[in-house]
Amino acid sequence: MAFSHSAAGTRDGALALTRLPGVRKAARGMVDESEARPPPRWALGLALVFCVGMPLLSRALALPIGDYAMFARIERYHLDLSVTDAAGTQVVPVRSLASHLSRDAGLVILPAASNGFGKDQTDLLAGGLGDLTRLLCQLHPSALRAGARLGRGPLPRQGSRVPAARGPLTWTEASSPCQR
Amino acid sequence: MDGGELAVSALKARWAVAVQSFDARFDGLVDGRIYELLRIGLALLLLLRSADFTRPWLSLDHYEWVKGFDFSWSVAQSPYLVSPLVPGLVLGARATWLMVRARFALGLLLLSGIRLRWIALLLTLSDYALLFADRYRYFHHLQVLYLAIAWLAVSPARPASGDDLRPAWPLQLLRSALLGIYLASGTAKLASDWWSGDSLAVLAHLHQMDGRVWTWSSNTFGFGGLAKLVCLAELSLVLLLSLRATRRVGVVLGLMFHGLVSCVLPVSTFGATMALLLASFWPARKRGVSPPVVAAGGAARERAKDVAEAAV
Repeated sequence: MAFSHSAAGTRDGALALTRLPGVRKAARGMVDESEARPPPRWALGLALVFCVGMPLLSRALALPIGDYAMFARIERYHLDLSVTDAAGTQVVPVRSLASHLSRDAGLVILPAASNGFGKDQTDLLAGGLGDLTRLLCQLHPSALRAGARLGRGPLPRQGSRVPAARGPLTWTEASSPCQR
Repeated sequence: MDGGELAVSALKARWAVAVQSFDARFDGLVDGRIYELLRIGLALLLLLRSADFTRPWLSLDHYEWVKGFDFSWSVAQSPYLVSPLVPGLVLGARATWLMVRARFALGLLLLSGIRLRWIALLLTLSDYALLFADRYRYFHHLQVLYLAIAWLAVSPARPASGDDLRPAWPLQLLRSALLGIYLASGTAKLASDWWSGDSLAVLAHLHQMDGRVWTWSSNTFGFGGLAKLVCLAELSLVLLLSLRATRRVGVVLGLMFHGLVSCVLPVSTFGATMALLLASFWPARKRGVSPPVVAAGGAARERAKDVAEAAV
């Protein structure tokens, strides 16, 4: 019994070895049968759902990643920053952050000083408001609290020559206490 | 057999047909040259998108913001904003310096075709690590490119001898991903902002769209008409590419569509990536052909069996 168990184990082990990519590659001209046949049905089904369904799921969950809305989703966004210290609350100009931002962060955040455009950008910014308040705390050591307020609103109508036309904005706020 | 049993057996028969149809979608072989074309094309696109080495003689859209290696460390002053898309994924200046260069080297290796799957996997990991380390780096065209490179990690290797016929199932997955992109993009444009032409008007203003193609099409169709045409084109591509009879027509129309979009909008490498991926719809599947790889697999199994017997 022990003998047959050992033999079966060896055979399985050897077959498993031939499925390792490195071993397959090492033996030139030998391509694994499993490579020619499609993966199990469940795996293909999952892959198919991922490929076709993920963009729609991303949209349903309002995630900007992989929803491929491309240029269809454009809205206006505006950012207000502030810090509160012993003297009261002061507005922090968005552009004062410029040298503390990466190239990519600057391309999304700095236009929000007046009006930025793009829904994906707004979603990305909305998810990172907490990170912005932490940066404000670091930049203003005397601050007790930092706040960020993101407004987003519809596009100006056609015929409005200036895209920065004023309109109603919906606000999302984040604030965090600064550790001293 | 009563009515209930009849209904159950009818359902079972339908399920069996559906399963058979599902399996048939992934069966068969394709001309292996398509895999080579996609590997080389994707590697070139990644290299072009990751660094501005062609700047002296060829200017590309993204050179407006990419200087040197893309995603290079670019913060001028400490403290700096840390805002990863994946919580905890923070890359400092040194790690970023290393990764952008390693990624370029991996891109060159991908072009060479050496250890394709491992290189594609490492590239995918480094691409997404760099992308997700800063939430503001995300672009749809990068996501498409990186996903396609991730797909290379499951693409089949070239057979060592005989005709270059390779399994069709990885190609079918890539095709479905492309259909998903067109479907998502087309349905997103079914919104009133897009349908009315307002979004396109803002785009035209922001990107200062001009040129003969844009002038002619916007004058002819207006913002609203053009927006509707774009939406219908994307949704039509889903249908045309899904049906075998119209697949190649879909490829040609898709190439024209991306060519036109690239003419009027600064879409970076997106048009080229989609055009390349559209090529995946061109080759016909050969079904009912005995794959040479299976024979080789049989030999491998025999060899493994010999090893096992020798051990006994």
